[in-house]
This record gives sequence, structure tokens and C-alpha cells, in this order.
Amino acid sequence: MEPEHKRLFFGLEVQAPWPESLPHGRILDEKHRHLTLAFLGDTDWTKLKEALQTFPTPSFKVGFVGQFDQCLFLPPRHPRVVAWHVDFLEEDSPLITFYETLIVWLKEKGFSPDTRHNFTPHVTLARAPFNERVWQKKFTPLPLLLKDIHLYESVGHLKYESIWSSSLLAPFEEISHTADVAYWIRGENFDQLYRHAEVALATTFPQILPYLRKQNGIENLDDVIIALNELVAIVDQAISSPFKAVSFHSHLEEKENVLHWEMIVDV
Amino acid sequence: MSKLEQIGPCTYLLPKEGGMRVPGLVIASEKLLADMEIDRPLEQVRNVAYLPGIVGYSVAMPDIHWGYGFPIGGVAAMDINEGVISPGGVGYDINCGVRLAVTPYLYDELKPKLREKLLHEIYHLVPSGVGHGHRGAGVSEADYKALLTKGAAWSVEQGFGLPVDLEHSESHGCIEGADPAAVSKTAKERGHKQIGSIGSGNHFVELGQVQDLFLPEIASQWGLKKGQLYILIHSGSRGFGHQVCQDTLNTFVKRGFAEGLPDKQLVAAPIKSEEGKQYFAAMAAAANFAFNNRQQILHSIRVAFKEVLSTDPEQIRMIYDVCHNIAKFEEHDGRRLCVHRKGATRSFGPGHPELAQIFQHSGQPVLVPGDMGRASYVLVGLGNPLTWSSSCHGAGRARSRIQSMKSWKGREPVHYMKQQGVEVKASSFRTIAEEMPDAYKNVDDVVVAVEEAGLANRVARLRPYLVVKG
Repeated sequence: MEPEHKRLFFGLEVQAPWPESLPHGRILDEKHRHLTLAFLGDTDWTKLKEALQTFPTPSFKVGFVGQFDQCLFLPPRHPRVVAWHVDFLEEDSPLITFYETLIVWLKEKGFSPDTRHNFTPHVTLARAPFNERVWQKKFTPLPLLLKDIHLYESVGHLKYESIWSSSLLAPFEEISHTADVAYWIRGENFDQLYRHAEVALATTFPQILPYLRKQNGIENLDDVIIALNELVAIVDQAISSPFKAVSFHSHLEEKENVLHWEMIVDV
Repeated sequence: MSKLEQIGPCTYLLPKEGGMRVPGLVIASEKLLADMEIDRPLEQVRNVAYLPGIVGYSVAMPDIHWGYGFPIGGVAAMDINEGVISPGGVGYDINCGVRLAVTPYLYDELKPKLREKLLHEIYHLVPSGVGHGHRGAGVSEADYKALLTKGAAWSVEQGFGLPVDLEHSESHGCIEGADPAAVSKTAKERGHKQIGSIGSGNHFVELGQVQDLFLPEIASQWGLKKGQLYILIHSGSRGFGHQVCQDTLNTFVKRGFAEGLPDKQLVAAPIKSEEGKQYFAAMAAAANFAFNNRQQILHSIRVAFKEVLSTDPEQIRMIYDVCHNIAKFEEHDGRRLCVHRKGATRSFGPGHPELAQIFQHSGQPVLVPGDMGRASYVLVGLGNPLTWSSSCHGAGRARSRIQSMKSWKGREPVHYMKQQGVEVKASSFRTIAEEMPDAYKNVDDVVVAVEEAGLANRVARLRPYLVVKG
């Protein structure tokens, strides 16, 4: 039987408060935007499908948070795509290690991932034609989260479909709350819980991004709440914040070494 | 439904169980109970009944919904010797409240262009929304000292209002016992440039028409006329009050006052303890900040009327200003109690000594904002002892903010409201989407329940037409 070939790559699913409209270009639909981990190109899918049974397990269970901090035009000499660079707002070494492990694993299995460039975390927004100046001018930093690892198939017309996934918990998700705003926040320790909570707030109100700060000595949920309220106070004083306080509501669960906290924010 | 026993019209008993010191009392119609998610708020009504020193009932109003510790729409009175004071029983937005004023105009008399100009001018003069600092010189330390202790009288002294405004305010626009020294530097910094601004969330300035009168005699005594153009302001103590609440929660939690409570947000200190006294002094300061905030918002609106319609400030008469997030010391049946009202309005009946002369025969006005599309209400208090003379504070949300946001995504809520005859201005799409009328219960149902339960009677129904949202 002929091997089935597909145009494939591994990537992470990305969520962000995307702008309602973007400058001119061949825009990727929100659901097709991703962060590429390893590009394979034309690949023997039958062989890879079998290899996936030994796909390396990441050392992390929860995804990552970051911000888009600059607009990139790639490749630099004759740009064909507009992308936003990802600045991780937490320790990214576990992801870098996983990227390296993935490349080694792919090579061991007889595949040829593209390793011509260093890993530059970015998300492609549009393909040529585009006006670099307009994209640059319209760019403003935005928060983002990364979750589930997918094997994507490029099906043409700027569409990428997931054909296999390895789950990661989302660092946060907004949930329904009668009067205020609420989120599930997840982290493998309280420090990470704080970081993910900050970025959750920034997803609802991106103007908070410049005020996010690294906090030391976060050891329990009370520390997380008190530090978040300090942040809210700073932002409220500077630019008036839609968040007025993070409540001491403390619905916290630990499941398989991951903390899950229902954060409720007074608005 | 959780074990509610009807004991009167729109009045249900939630029997004592477990560690409850008193039973719960729920004011609601059958329809409201059937339509709302009642279990979590009722759990909070029960939790409140655990607090030391609570007397009578742990009360829930028909606009009840889940809050922090206490439900929103909750009332609890504590014995001042045995009882506790709880920041969760007041809420983050200390003295969030409502102010109603009337103009010399009939709404229909105003030409559409003038209405538009008026809305534009108010939007321009009254800061609203988030994401930017507010203009103005800010409040100095000396100003803070005066305004936090004098309440709205300070703004009046500074030229932001009329002395008569104070007579038309709950507690004459000042909660006694405020101590600026009990307030943190952070709270003062947060409030520095926020006086006279609406804020965000469900806060607003609304102009509209007095649509119906239910008690024309009382309406006439108060100066309310059918067809009249009214002004309704909903705002609170802004970041200042939130910080006072947060500072207190941090302190109370660190000192272990939350231990043994079913919910950390219920944390409370004995009224007579140093911590309890400190919280009351800071809360009263925040309440006075809020009175000043609404006073200065009204002043800016008077300026807008002067600009657009050459209206003298005196022609814009205040009807009343009520708090709906507050703890107060009050006499009930000869007992001195600390009454917590969180998302609930005081509703003193006729003859109450605290009321100004104009309200002595009628009872106090109770202001109940609904949503920006349907109606708001003016009620008159009946001084019902079961609820410690309290009534509802609004319609109560029917939908979460995220549900509202999702349901309006990709649609044009401002255009939709315009089709309904309501012009809305706001700096953020999200705020409008979250605050659309379908996010709220029908306020008509809420006030009918309040009336049937004997807490307050309807005086007038107000119909909004021009709205500024935060």
C-alpha cells in the first residue's frame, strides 16, 4: 500500500483576545492560529501515526502564558508572513526542553524536522500581500495562553487542522458568574497560579499588561490573592481598573499535582 | 427548592438548621423563586445566620444573588455587644448607592437634538469607564480629612451642590464615626482622582421620563410629576472603598478571624473589638467618599444642564440619595443594632426621627434601578420590622456577564438600544454588552414582591431614555 503523505507540523493551540479587525493581508482565521513547535513538511503520515504511540511526555501538565510583544515579518529579507512574537511571562525552559526532546525524538523516528532556525516562538497572523508599516503601527501588546499540543495538517488556503493532540490544561479560562467575572486558574504551584491569574485578568483587560510584575514569596492562596489585589490597586490608581478586587473566595482543588482555583473578581 | 416555608405574601422562612443562630427570611414571589438560581444564594443566607450576635433573621431580598460571603440582596442585624461586623456584609463598593433628581422639564418637551446634546455634554463632563486616568487636580490630604468626616457637606461647601441636597440624602449625606486615620495610603491613592466619576460595571447616569405614578399624593409631596425629566445616578466609593474593604479583609484573615467560618469571605470582627471599630471608622470614611462622589456627579450634570438648557442649578432638585452597601448603627424596637445592608436599601417608614421633615409623613424614598431598557422605580419605605426596615436595591442579574457578552458578540447593542428608544454612551463595547436589559431580571416583578411583602410601596415608575455607562 502506498504511504499516505500529508503536510504536517507540531504546534500549540493559542488563545488571545484577538482584535476585531486586523490590517490588510491574507488573514488566518482565529481557529487556525497556532505556535509552531516543529515543522515537518511533506511527511509519511502512516509512519508518523505509528510513531506517535511513543510521543514524548512533556514535563508540564499546564500550558503557558505570555504576551505578543512585537510584530515580525518573516523571513526578514523577503517577508511572506506577518507574525507576532511571543514573550513568555513565566519560566519557558520546560517548553524549550520539550521542543529539544521533540526534535530528537522525531529524528530518532526517521523524520526530518526543519531545524534551520533557532526556535523563535511566534504566531502567524497573515500572509502576503501586506503593508509592513500599517501592521507595525497597529500592533499593540496582547496577552495569550498556550494549551494542547497538536499535530496539524496544512490543508491549504491558510487552514490547519488538528489530526492528533496531546492535552495540556489551559492556564486559565473565563467562566460564568452571576454578577462579576470569574475564571478557573490552573498551575503546578502557587507562584504559577499567581502568574496565570495575572494574565487571565490581562486577557479581559489588556491595558493591565505593562503593570504585571514578578512576585516573590508566593506560598499559598492568600498570598496569591493579596498580590493580585496589590496589582489591581496599582492599575486602578494609574489608569482606572475595571477590576476592583479579587475576592477571598477560596475554592481551591488539587488534582494530580495541579492546583485549580476558581478566581472571582469584583468589577 | 431548599426547604422554604411560606409565612406571608411573598415572604418565606428558611428554617434554622446546623449552626444557624437565627432562621433565614426570603422575600420573593413564586415566579422569582422559580426563575432564579436560588441554591447558592440560600446557602449564603444560611452561612450569614451562623455569625455571632445576629438577631431576628438572615434576610434575603427578591433581587438576591450570590455575593462574597453575604449574598447580594442580604440584610443582617447584629447585637452591638455580642455581635460582629463583617466587610463581606457591606461589600467591596462601600456605600454604592443611587441618587435621584428631577428637572423642571417634561421629557417630551425636549427636542431630540437637545436630548442628544445633553447626553453628549454629560458624557463629556462626568468621567466614566476605565483604562485611562481621570483629569482634575485630585484630592489633597487636607481635603481628604474634611470630606471623609463631613460627607457630602464638604462638596456642598466647595460649591459642588446646594445645602438642600443634604436634607434629601440618607443620613444627610454623612456617616458619623469616620476616621481618615483608619484608611490606608493605598486607598487614598486609589481615590485621589476618582471623586465625581461613575466608574465601570453596572454604574451609570440615566435620564428619562417619570412614566407612571402609583401614589400621586406622595409623588406630589416629593415633587415628582408624570412626564417629568429625571436624573438617576448609580455609583459608589470607587477604588477608595474597594481598597478599604480589601485592606480589612487582608487584616481580618491574617488575624485568624475567618477560622471556623463556612466561607472566608464572611470574615468578621467583634463590633466592640479594636479591629471592628477600625473597620467601622474606615467604612464610614469610604461611605462619605461615596456621598461626595454622587454629589459631584450631580454637580457636573447641573453644569451640563446649564450649558445646554441654561437651567439654574436650583431648578434641578434632589429627590433622594440612598446607600445600598453599608453597615449602620440603628435603633430597632429599643435595641441598638449594627444593620448590614448589602445590595439592600434602608426603607424607614413614616415618622422615623432620622428622616427630614418632607419625608416624615410619607416615609423615605427607596430608589430601585432596574435595567437601561425597561424601568427603574421610586418606592416609599414602610419600616417593616421583619427586615429591619430594609428593601430591595435593584433588579438583580439574570445572566452572567460572560453569557451576556457572548450573546451580543458580533451584534450591535447600541443600535439595538436605539431602536428601543434608548441612547447609550459608553467607552467600552464590553460594558454595554454585559449590561443589556436581558442580563437582568424584570424589575417590575421585584418591586411587586417587595410591595406584597409590605416592605415598600410603589410611588413612580421611571423609564430611561438617555444612558451613560461606565
